[in-house]
Amino acid sequence: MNAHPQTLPPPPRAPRLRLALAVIASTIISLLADPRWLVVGLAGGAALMSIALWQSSERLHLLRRMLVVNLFVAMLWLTLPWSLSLDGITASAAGRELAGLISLRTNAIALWCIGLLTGMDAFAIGRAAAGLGLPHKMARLLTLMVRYFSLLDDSRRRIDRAMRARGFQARCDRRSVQVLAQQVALLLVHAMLRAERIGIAMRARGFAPHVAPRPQTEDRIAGRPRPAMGQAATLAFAVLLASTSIVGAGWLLIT
Amino acid sequence: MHLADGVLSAPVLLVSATLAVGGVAIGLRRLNEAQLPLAALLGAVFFVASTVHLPVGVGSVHLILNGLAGLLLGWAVFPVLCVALLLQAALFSFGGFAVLGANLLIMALPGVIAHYLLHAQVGPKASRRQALLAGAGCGVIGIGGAALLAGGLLTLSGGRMFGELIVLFGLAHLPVMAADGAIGAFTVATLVRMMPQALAPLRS
Repeated sequence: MNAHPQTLPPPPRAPRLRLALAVIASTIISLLADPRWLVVGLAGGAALMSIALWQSSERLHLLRRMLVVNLFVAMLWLTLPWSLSLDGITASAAGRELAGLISLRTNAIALWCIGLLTGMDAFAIGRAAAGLGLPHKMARLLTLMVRYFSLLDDSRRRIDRAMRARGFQARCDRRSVQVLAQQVALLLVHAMLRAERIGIAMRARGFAPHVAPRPQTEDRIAGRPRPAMGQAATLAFAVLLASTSIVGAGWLLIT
Repeated sequence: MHLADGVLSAPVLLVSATLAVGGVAIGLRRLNEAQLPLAALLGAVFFVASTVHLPVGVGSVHLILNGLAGLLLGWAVFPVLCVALLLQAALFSFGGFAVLGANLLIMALPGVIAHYLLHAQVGPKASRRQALLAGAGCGVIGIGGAALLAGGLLTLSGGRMFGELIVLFGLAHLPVMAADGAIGAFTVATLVRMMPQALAPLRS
């Protein structure tokens, strides 16, 4: 998310395919309830993660993300295998089994997603998601938010530096709360003023709010190189949604 | 506040994804083309604000501000938080893709409720006391509502077995609610004094 990188990293390969695969893998593994299939999913994810670790220069970052995922899993293991009742704390075999199943599922999904999406920054994720058949407004919102995030993060860092230079150090007291609230309010005011300037600049370039953009403009904004690719992605997304619903409905019928 | 992938059952995932898609559709319909940059900028502010930490006890809590985002954005909080949650899932592994709909519902619905309950309190003539109460209300409704919704979805998925987890989840979010309420209160009070129109940014 660095706004001004010194050297541009090479563009990620097949970003849309990788994001689509990550979403499909997450959906399918979420629906699995058989531990044997989950172990297969986990092995597949582990293979992808190994390749990602092999190729990545940010191995520690990838492993830290797995740790983040397992913080939630740790909360599950702290609570699910035990049952509080009037007799005190009793062990629950069903709870232990559920905690094991969820741990397998969560880790398998995390390995697939981190393995597939490694090396993709916010801009690449934004472009890939916008290219996967999102509605026009959603695609625009996504690309604009990714763009403005780095701008406002810079503003926050600047305000933060200025505050620390004047001796501010956050503590758990009223003064710190007031100062941090002022920081949030300043960011909101900054965003409003910038939006005003953007509105003026857009109108100066002939933007008419109630005129739908031409298809080629839409494709350029959404990061789609060819209209045919966008249609194919929309179709693939629809097929994915339909197949997920069918699998879900089947699962409901079976259980 | 994110539920991880793999925790909720398939029917709960499907129903919450459908409801979240409905919320996103309403939010997008209420945003016109000219308002997209403003909504994106405000969304980016809330994304950035979630990196602000307030020390509490031996640790620290980060802000969520979903209630305040709802107060300002109304239904547009759904598409804006959808983008934020998608990026968090893809870049930091907070939450996940299959659980995106559930997490969006958990975060955005209390925001919309905060908007309807509190936006009348923060007009240009609002007193400082009204502004402080509305801002604190955003924290309570935003985080409290999110914890209740998360608890409800967990109960629908696992019944009694998730009971202790729900209690632990709720307790862990009490300091977050306090931080969001306190920061939200002073933020709204500052905005009323500095730039009252910022409290109804999407009113066209």
